[in-house]
Parts: sequence; C-alpha cells; structure tokens
Amino acid sequence: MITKWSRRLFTMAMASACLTGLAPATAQDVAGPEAANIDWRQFEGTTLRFLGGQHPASAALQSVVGDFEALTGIKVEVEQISWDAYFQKVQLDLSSPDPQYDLFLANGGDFDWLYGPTGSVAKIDEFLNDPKLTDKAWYDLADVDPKVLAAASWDGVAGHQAGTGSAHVVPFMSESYMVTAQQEMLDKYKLKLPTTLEEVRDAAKTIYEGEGGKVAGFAARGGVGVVNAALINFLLNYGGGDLDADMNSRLASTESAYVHDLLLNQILRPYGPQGWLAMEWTDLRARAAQGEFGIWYDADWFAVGYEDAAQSKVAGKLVYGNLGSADSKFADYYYFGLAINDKSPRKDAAWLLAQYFSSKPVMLRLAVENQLLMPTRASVYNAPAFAEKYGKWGNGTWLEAAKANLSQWSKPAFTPTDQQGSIKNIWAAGAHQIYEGADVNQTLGQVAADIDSLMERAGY
Amino acid sequence: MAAISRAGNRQVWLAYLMVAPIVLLFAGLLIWPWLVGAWTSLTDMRIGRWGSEQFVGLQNYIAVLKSGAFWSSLRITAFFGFLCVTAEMSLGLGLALLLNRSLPGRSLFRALFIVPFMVPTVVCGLIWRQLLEAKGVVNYLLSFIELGPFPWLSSSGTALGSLVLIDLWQTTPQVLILALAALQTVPKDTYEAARVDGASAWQTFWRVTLPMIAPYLVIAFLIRAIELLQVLDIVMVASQGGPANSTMVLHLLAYRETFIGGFLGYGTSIAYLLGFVVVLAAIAVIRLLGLTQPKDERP
Repeated sequence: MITKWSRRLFTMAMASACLTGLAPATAQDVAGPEAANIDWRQFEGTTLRFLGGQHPASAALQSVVGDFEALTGIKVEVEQISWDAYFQKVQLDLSSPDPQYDLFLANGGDFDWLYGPTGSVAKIDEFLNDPKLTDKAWYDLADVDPKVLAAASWDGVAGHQAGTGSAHVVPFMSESYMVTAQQEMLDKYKLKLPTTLEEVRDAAKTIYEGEGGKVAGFAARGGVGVVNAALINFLLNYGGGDLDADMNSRLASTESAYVHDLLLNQILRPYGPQGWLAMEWTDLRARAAQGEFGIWYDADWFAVGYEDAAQSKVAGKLVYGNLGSADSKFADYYYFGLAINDKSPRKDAAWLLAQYFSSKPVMLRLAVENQLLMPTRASVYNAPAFAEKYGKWGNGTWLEAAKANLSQWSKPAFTPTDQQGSIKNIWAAGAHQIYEGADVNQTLGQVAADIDSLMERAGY
Repeated sequence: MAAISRAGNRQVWLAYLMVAPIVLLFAGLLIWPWLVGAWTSLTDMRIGRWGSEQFVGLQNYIAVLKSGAFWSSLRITAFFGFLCVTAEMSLGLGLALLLNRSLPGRSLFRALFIVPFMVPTVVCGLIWRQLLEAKGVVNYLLSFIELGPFPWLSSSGTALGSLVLIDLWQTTPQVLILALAALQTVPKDTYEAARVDGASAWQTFWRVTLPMIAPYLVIAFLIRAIELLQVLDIVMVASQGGPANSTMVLHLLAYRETFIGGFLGYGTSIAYLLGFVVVLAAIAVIRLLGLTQPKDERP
C-alpha cells in the first residue's frame, strides 16, 4: 500500500515538475459541473447541431452528449462526416445567413486561421466574460495550457504569429508528435532510440537490412500528411520554416533541402514502408500496431492504438521519445476544439456545450475512461488516475515524452494564414516528387515559386 | 373573325399559363444558380470575405488558362476519361452480348454483374483503397503467382491506372445494362434472315447487331463521357489527387481552389471551364449520333 501511494505521489510530483507554467491541480480539485455557479438549464428545450469530421474528437463529443442533455435540457444532434465533405459543408454553412449548424469541430489553425479573422466563428471572450454563461472560477481557463490557447488565436494580420488576437475555441484535445520504436528491435540490433534524423537514418538502415526488408526501418505519415506530421517539425528543428515575415516561402532554402533529402531520399525511400506515398494517418497507425515498422514518428495520441493489446501486436513492447535535431525536438502543436458559428441564434447555448466539453471533469473523464488523448488541461495530466493509466506505456517513456512536448517542445509550427491548406497540398506534391526521384533543389524551387504565386493571388 | 382571333389569343395565353409553373421552377432551380455561378466566376469573391468582392471580368478565366495546374489537370481528366470510356464500352458490350445468349445461370450472372453499379461510389472507393494497399488483398493474391507487390495507388506512375480499374469495376455495369436493353430491341427474325443468308457470327454482329444498337451505344458513350469528365468522388476517396498530383482531375482542382483555398471566383471559373469542356465533348458525341442515323430518317 505504501509502495503504491509512494509511486502515485512520485508520479504526481514528476508531473507537476514537468508541467512548469501550468496551474497545478489534482483529482481532488476537480469539481463536477453541478458545482459551477451558472444556470445550466437556462436554455432548456433548445436544440443544438454539431458538425465534425470523422475523428475520435467528434466521437468523444457523442459519448458525453447524453450527460450534457440530462444536465441542461438542451438536445444535441451530432453529425460526423468525411473530412473532404466536412470542409465543403463548413464553408457553405458559415456563409449562410440561416445556418444549419451551431458548432463545428475546429481542427487546428486550418480552421481558426481561415474562419476566425473573417468573423465567421465567435470569439470565446464574449462568453467567458458573461457571468450568466461562465463560472470563471469553476471553468479555470488558466488550467488550459497557454500554448495551445495561443495556437488557437490569430489576429489575421499577415506575418503575425499564432497567439495574437482572440481565441476562437478552447481546445479540448491536442496533438503533438513523438518517435516510437519496438524495444525488441532496438535491443536486437543494439540500438538506442534515435533523437535526431541522422540517428534515424542509421538505425533505419540497420533494422531494414537486418530484417531482410520485411520490416520498414522507419515510417512517417505519407499522403498530404507528410507535411504537417513530419516535414514541418524537422524543418523547425534544422533551422527552416514554412514562410518568412513577408509571407514568402522558405522551402527553397539550404536547410529545407537538407531535411527533404535526408527524410525522403536517405530514409523513407530506401528504408521506409511499402506504399508510403499513399499511407495516411489511419494506415500508419494500423500498420505500426501490426509491427510493420521498427521506428516511426507520428501523433502522440496514436499510442492508444499501439498499446491496445486487443488490436496491437506491439502493445507493451514499445519505447517513446522526442525527435528532432541535436539542438531541439520541436513539434507542431495541433488541436481540436468546438468553434461556435457566429451567425447561430443559439450561440449562448452552444457555449454551454463548448464549456462543458472542455471543462476539467469532462476532460478528465474522457481522457481516463474514453482514452481521448491528449488533454489540454494541467489538472488532467496531474490527476493520479491519468498517471496510473498511462504511466506504464513504454515503461513511462510515453508520459515522459508527452510532458516534454507539453512543457518544452510543442508549439504552433506553421505561420498563420488562410492559405495553409493550399500550401500543404503544393508542398506535399513536391515532397512526393522528390520521393519518386526528382531533383531536390529544383523541385523545392518550383514548390516555393508555386507557393509564392498562390500567396500573391491571395493578396499577401 | 375578331371573335376567332380573341379565342385564339386566349388559347395561347392559356398555354403559356399552363407551362409557366414548370418554366419558373426550371428557371429557379437551374438557370438562376447557373447565372449566379457565372457572375461569381467574374468576381474575385473569397470565402468568408463576403461583400468585398469586385467585378474582375475575365481575369479569373485568363489566370486559370495561364496556370500549369489547369492544363495538367485537363490532360489527366481527358486521359482518364478516354481510358475509362473506351474500356467500359468494349467490356460492357462484350458482357452484354454474352449475357444476351441462352446460357445456364444467365439471370444470376446478370444480377451479379449489376451489383457493383449499386455500390455507392464513396464505399466503392474505400473498398478498393483497402484492396489495393501495399499489403492489401490484391497484392496478397498476386504473391501466389509470384507477382508484385504493385504500388497501385502509391506511385504517380500507376495511380491513374488504378483509378481506371476501380471505375471499370463500378460503372461497366451501367454500359452493360444499356447495351443489354439495346440488344433486346433487335428482332429475332433479323438474325434468322442473316442466318438464312449464310452470314457468319462475326458478319451478323458487324452488319446486323451493331448498326441496330449503335444509337443506344452512342447514348451510353455520351452519358459516360460526361460523367467521367466530371469525375470527383472516386478520386477524392481513393487517391485525393495524389501522389504528386498524378490524379488531380479538373473537378478536384476546382474543389480545392474553392473550398481549401477559399477562392470562390477562381474556383468557379475552373468549374465553368470544365462545363465548357463537357459541352464540347457532348456536341462532338451528338454529332456522332447524327451520323449513325440514315439520312432519310433525320427530321
């Protein structure tokens, strides 16, 4: 018993130490929604409509809707559709004077930077400062990681970074990136978990050749996702970036050429997985869980699938860490939140749902019971139930890497602009060409020229 | 005389009145959106920046026609359409001829061949995406005969061909249905007469069957050509225009410019240029249809 409590206390102390800058809290501090000094039933009888892309974040909302309805008397209709159809529907609904949906799933800057500055989605300040709608003490916004809140705000001025202007959502789920490896594979070839891309190259070669090509030495997301789940992170760590202060592309730089050549030509093409160009995030997650890769790099919360013994062959056999250059391990800070349609006549009721969904007790419950990772609140990371559930993954290395990201490495990696979606598409097509053998400098020069042309057309 | 004229006028007005609802409905549902779209394509309208759009004349069309992405997508769309329509017409007609014969289990085969056509395109795309994965079922089966693995959708050299395969699987039955229906219209005594005259099977097909079903086949060709030039869903689900933009068809380019970039005016101009291409293709096929009818039967 003493040992058990000692372990818990030690874990909590470690968590607090890692989460510097975040308000410390424990599970005992987490009061349920009934403790909030607001009238949850003030909009009883209202019906809210939510639209989200198919994602665990949307599914998580669905899972707590019943409790919210019982608490407030507000009915919530949750609709999940494919991402491609989602973007189209969001555009149409936000442009309608009589919208169908009150809330949307905001998927990082791609959403907020596009719709926030145009005034299509509401700013959270108008709700936070209304005592009828928010009990500030109970909601405790200071408990939410300030970096993820900053990522969700931009003033719409070209060249300004994330963190300027008002926030449009309170993120309830975040995503950053970490490296994962099969411990047995590392042991077999006497390797340590790589911390730089150069180490990845050497380890990937050893594993791929040692396994006779049957196991990919290294994997990262393919498709368009190679940009936001790999290239941008490595660029940051090797001194590059997407756009300069004048909103011109930085992809034709020496640093960019080095990273593209190293990742695509020296690692993924010779030692990567078969069919890499079409390997989306769902494919990577599934194939990693089947033991097809020795080392891989992707979202931190994918570990939910890797560590599920019912569907994973590598559960309990993994080690996690942070990956970058010798100097830094930066990784993009992506997030999901509930954005409120500014034209909705039910904005206040919609805020009750957004507030409830991003509150301490709901986030803790979703994280521990529904495995919705990554939470954005320090109180959830500090909760003993959280540490107990996830502290064992990778012998503690997952939690360690997650907290290092949270406290030190995660930050918005892309320069805010409403053209990020198009930039990623142009960039990914160029990366695909390099992977298929095109000249690195020539291709990146063309990619940069195409992005500059796009930005000029967009008025930057 | 005047009374007759008044009665005639009343009849004319009555006729106008009777067709007015459908004309108004047609105008509301088709012509008005078309006009709004045409106007949008002549502005610099951006999504989310409502009310700030300016009339830019043909600037969007000029910019699109100067862009390499448009011509690349047009080439890909035309090539994809040509491959699909050629293969579908040949396969569909061949299968229809087979299923028009008295074969055991003919009804079962007819039903089986039509099943893919009933699968929603998005579902079809998802199924085939799984089947054609690097470690998917198709490569697994090919491994038994020591072939592959092929990078079906994961190489810019093979992705478009893989999409053609998926489209063939799903929409050849559409041609099959039309061709089979056409074959049912050929009178049996025509075949009898050909047989009595000593015509071979090939001669019967070439001289009797094909001329009689040709107008139906041209219609099938027209429908498929128009559908293929506007293809979007299967590409979006199976390849998303990649890898390296190798499957970036025109409709997807218009979609991305409009809904990802937010360039409503620019994206709409691509869509209207696509519409223009479709109309041109349709006119070409309709002229072909005219040529298939004997001159004395033309109105």
